[in-house]
Amino acid sequence: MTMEFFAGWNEAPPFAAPQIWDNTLQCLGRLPSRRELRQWLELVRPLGVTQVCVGSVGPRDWDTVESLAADSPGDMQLEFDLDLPRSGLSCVVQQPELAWRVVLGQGQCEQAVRRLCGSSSSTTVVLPEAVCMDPLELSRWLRKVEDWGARRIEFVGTHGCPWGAGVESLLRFALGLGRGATPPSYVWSGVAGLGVALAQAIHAYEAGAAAVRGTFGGAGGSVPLESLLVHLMLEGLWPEHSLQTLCSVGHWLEVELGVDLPPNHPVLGSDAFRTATGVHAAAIVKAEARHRPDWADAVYSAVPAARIGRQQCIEVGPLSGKANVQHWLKSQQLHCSDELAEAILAVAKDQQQVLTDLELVDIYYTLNGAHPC
Amino acid sequence: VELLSPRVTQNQSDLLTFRELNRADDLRRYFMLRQMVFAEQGYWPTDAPRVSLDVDSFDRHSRFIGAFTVSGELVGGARIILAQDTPNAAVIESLLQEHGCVTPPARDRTYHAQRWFNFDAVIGHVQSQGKQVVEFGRTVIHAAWQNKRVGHLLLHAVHGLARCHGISVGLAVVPPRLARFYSSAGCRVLHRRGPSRSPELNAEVVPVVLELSRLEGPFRVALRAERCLHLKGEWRSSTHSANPEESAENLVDWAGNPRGGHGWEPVLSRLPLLRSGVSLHDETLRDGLQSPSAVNPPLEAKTSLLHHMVELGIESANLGLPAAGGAARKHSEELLQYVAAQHLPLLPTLAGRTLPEDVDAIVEASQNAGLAVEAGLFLGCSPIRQACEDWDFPRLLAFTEKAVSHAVAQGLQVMFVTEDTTRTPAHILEPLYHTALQAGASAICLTDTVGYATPRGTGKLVSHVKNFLGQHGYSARLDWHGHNDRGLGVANCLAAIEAGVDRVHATLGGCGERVGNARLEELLVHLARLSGRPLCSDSLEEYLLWGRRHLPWVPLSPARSTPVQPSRVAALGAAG
Repeated sequence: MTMEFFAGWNEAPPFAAPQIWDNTLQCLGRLPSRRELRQWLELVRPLGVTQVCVGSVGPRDWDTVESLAADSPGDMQLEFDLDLPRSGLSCVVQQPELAWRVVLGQGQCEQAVRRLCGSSSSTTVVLPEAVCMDPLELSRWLRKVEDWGARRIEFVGTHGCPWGAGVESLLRFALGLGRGATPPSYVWSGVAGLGVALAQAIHAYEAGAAAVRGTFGGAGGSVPLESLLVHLMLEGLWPEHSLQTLCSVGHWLEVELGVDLPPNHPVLGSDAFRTATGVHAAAIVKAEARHRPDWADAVYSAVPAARIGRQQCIEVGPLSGKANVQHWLKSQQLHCSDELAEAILAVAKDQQQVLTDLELVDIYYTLNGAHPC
Repeated sequence: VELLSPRVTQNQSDLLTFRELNRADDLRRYFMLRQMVFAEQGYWPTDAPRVSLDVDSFDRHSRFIGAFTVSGELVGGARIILAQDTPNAAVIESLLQEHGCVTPPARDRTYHAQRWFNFDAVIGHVQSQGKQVVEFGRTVIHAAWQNKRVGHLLLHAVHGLARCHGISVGLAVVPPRLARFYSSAGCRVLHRRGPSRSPELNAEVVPVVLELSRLEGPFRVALRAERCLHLKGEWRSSTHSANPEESAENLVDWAGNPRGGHGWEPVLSRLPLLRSGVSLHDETLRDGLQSPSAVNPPLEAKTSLLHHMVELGIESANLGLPAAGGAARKHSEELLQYVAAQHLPLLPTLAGRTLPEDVDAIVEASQNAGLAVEAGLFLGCSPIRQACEDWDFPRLLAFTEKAVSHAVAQGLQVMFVTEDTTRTPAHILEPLYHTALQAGASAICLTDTVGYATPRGTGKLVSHVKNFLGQHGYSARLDWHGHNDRGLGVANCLAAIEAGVDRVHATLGGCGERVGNARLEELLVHLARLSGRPLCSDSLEEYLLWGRRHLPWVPLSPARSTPVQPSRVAALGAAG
């Protein structure tokens, strides 16, 4: 509703949205319980996630895999990481509806990878060092893996390298090597580092990657999927999915996975929609006074909080103006004269940090004796 | 009674286990530990009777008591007073009789802290919302375990225990020397309640309030404690502290020894990768401290940051917004005077709105310091801001002309900053730039105030404005100031550099308004890697360590972030 206000500097050609593959559960360090898996799938299904990597499986995990596979939802695919020499292949062949992921360079032999790719078209073969290979070496590997039957090939970014142009070059080069009627599709798996993981993922899907792999909250140092989803939403590439459950995803990450989301984490952090700055608060308050909650949600926020299950929050601190104080008093249903608001603001200006509700209550009642309403 | 067995050594610190106490033997050891620690620290008045247990009337209302044990030995504990009788009343009575202690008189207040301070307004406000308030107190750690991070863990644990029981708000009174620690860790020392002294304790205390539903920074570990206590009835934790240098080392390693990325940048991408000669502008002391989690560092800390900036080769820094008044004005003026007195090779900038009073505040600061400064005068001009404020465009042009002319007439260099440039169309920007530049502005700053831009959008905007300046013969410097709301802060800076800006703004750790700005340390590494900008690893490490000390809520390494713990928390000794 507010888009008519925004200039079109960000406008881009109509790229195809990538599939979103989620690796968050791997941060458990074990296979999840059925309860945990069900909870997680309920949270991420509405977001449009198409594949969830459940964890790594060893030879003793096949019973667990079978029981987890029973909860596999129709519209999402469950994926497991395989260490072929340890895991064995017999059970894989019996579970063709599941997706598998195998990393080359961990002692995987050609025969095993061939058999795995033959048994399940949803097998992803990872080339972990692709970003460090020169084009000749990479082309040899890609042809070899394609000959083994791989339909999905994954590249992994490493510590912020390469940057955007490099990711695009890599993927365009790989896509240009495709042979036959159905060339393999490519998956980009970013690794956080030096602040460009999300930008790399964007460059990757714009260059033709069919899927982007990451984790919510950037857990484990991957592409932060919540930011990628918000990006797709703002670019108009994610129209069919609501992001309202993102807020619950953040809570689940903290409580169930023990992920520390710093306050300044984009989208999910506690500060993402807080402001105590006078100029910002004044604009929000004026938008609210005009009964335009959509303006209030957008005037000082790139991400509309209401669309991800959150809300804008105005606080009072040393850089605040009178609008902050008046907004807070109104939210607490406390009556206040102009003199008292000025007095509270004067106290706030001398503080070293933003005041909490309880501090403000304390100040309000302390000062109210001097400035009774 | 030996509270801590000699066989329990630091090497066994992994075995710390926290649980709620309810057995007579556990409670007896906790009360003895309290007595011993408080006596050692001199909290008891000299004329106080010598007893073996510290039990007061509020223990009858200490609804929850929790403690850490190592190999079964108690090393620290705390109580949580709730305005209900304790389930341990019978055990406490029998302990008092067993040790020949006098039964404490009935309480005169609901909470211990109310003996010192009037918490009625706060308690009334919380209870009116149907929430429960507790008081944390009698937090003690055995002398052998002090300064070993057990203090932090104990705070996390008791907060987790309270959350586990559905508590929303906690009160405490603590020694003044610990007020800063509590403050930096998410608790708040209540306003206008100076230290108080009670005849009961030989110590001054200050009041602290902790909102458990808003735990931040290091205290978020309490969420884990809560979960473990809820699921298993106990929380096990290690005292092994995270290596405080770890993040810095990681980043320095990336700078000095970049891994990967050798294949696709030089071979298939264009060369050179990034233009060199771009200067960096540090916004930590202005925009950085607008973070809602920020605690304004003392002036000495800010001056030391200026030296770190100089050592890193950062060319300029924003020293604050003097027109904000109060502490902000005082610090920005003093910092400017410091730069002048020390002859620091740093171009100082002060921020202000495009209003005459803001310009006057900057002029006054500049004159007091005897140093020329650049005024960063910002103007909200995006269509949505105009709609909210009911501004019309001629008014914006008038503001710009008046403020810039006034500042130039007063001898200031002016950087004209259009807020929210990335959501503002060219037909608004161009007349504003004409007006500002013709009034004497020497630089234009494009801002992504709300973190809306994508790298593609950034490149398009910068190229457009660069062409505009060239076409009209302006020789103004072009700056980029980005935010990180969409997680693209650093990538946008790189795109802006590639498109031709002369200076980019960033902050230490990316701290700033809402989720903050571009991270300066990451930018430094990118510039070293992609454009050959010199980068001294030791200086970067010092810069990051400053952030660890003064911006503890900011994760400094994107890959392995570990919130910083203050280096030392001695006896917690909360007196309540």
